Amino acid sequence: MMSEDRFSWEKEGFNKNPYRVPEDYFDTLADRILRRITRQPDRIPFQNKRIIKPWMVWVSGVAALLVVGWFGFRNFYLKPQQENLFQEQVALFVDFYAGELHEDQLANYIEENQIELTGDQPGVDYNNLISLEPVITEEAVYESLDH
Amino acid sequence: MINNTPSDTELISMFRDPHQRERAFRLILAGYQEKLYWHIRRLVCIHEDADDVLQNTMIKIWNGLPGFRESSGLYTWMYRIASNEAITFLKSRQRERALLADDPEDLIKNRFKSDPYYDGDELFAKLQVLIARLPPKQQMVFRMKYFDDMTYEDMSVVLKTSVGAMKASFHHAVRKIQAAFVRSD
Repeated sequence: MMSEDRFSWEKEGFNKNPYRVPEDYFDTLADRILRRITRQPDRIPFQNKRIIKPWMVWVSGVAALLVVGWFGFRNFYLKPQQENLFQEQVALFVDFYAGELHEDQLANYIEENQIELTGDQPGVDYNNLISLEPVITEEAVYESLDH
Repeated sequence: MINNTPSDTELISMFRDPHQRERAFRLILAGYQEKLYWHIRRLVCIHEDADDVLQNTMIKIWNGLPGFRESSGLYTWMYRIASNEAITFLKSRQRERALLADDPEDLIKNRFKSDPYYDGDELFAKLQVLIARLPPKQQMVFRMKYFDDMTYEDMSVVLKTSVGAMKASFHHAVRKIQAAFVRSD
């Protein structure tokens, strides 16, 4: 509780509520407010504005699961599988054909097709060093060698 | 004796029924309009401003009541809306004063003079001028505590600040006003 002598401005006769209201102010207030309310643009009551229905929660939950599942499947199953397949193709190509290719032919093919070689020691192990984009096909190699 | 006045919960249910909405609203107003008016008036001082703020408050209550979740009491909820409306009003008034080249002291005194429903003396007007010089937050805290006897706990909910910060703010405000009074005597 605040003590009365605490504030220096509270001298004798100090009135901290020197306010009045017009006569009938409170009697007419409701009408004036309701008049303003009826002039408002039509509002949809808040409870009817609830856009999210229970079934939407279920559908969005299932959709979220599918999306997460798809990314998981793609990143942890499909992608490694594709990478393995690709590496297998490269390995096959190297095992069966690279031995018969001339160094210049292979170098030209890699340069023309802008194939990136990862690692800075080409020739150590092609299975580990070559990263091909797009995928080398046997036809592409023959086509390149015919030129 | 049978009490025919509907409870807050009954009033809210009535309000949610479109056929009874207006009646419920009138009953809510009849029960709380004076308390809310005086709460607002003590914060904004001038009757015309208090009337504007109260009407805006009641329109917000009308619009918000269908979605009111009753996690607090009806009056607490309305009181919070009224406080926030008054705070918004005071902040806008302070910005306006900062933009005007006139002396803020004259502006405040002239506002009081133009209010036919104000009977304050020189001392009261001087106090209001000193309050208006405080930073907005301190001003709000001082008005709520000193004029409206709000508890620190209620103020902390309305102003979203800790009780400790409210107490510190109030004491800083009192110290500044007292010092200004001493200097001007």
